[in-house]
Amino acid sequence: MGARGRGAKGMRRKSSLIIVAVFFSWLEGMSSSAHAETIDLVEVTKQIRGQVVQVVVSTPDGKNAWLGSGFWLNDKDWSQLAGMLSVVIRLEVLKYDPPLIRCSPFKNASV
Amino acid sequence: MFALQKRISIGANWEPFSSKVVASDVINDVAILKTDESPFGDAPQFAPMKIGNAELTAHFATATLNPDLPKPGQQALLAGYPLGQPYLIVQEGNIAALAFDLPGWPPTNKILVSTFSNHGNSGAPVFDMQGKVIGILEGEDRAQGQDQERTGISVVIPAFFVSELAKTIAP
Repeated sequence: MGARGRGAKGMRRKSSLIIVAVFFSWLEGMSSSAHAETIDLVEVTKQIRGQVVQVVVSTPDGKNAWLGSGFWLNDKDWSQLAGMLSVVIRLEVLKYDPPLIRCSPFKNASV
Repeated sequence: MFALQKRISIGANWEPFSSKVVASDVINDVAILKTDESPFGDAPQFAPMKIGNAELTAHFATATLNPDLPKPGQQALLAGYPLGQPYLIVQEGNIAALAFDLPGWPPTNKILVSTFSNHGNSGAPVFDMQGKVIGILEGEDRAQGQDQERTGISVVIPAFFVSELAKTIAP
């Protein structure tokens, strides 16, 4: 009876240890996945800097007004665009005359 | 189809370069302009400014399109110049849904991204986590009714339409 009791207690202790181990490995996984996600965001942000342009229009008083954003298009997929730079913007911007597209490089923080 | 010559000015002290509209899509409100000469031939050198381990410096790069529609739940980054900010502002969001015939918007496919967007962000690229452009910001969806409250849901034109538009450009 006593031996059976000790056996049951030992089993319970083992199960508890297994549960604790599983919990800690889950916690470790959670923290490493959160860490990986943070690194990805920084890396992608580094990668995309310099690709985005600001669309500015000159006002009659000689000042600039901002209209929106756009981006430089990589021409490697379209031979028709090869050689010079292409920029993608919203069509509605073109109703302003003349739109000046203020482009990168802007000063961006990089680490 | 617009066949306009437009001036592109690169930065504050740079010479303006002429460009022309080589493709436009009225339904999806997208245009592709091409410069007549490369404005980055004589790019001025900016002196980098160091702050701790960060460095403020200039960058130029071109974006690659991902014409595949993203999956709801997927992470996305909106990068643009909201409210006239001279610095690139990057915001994180998720793909909330793929929509067709969204009330109040042109009747075409849209990607809905869970992030706020402001004036000046319009036309900004939305990137996937591989750094490819999955869409172009059209605006933020507003609540139906008089108040038109902000929803924090941005409406994005899928990059697929830009890819298809680029294919129409004559060599």
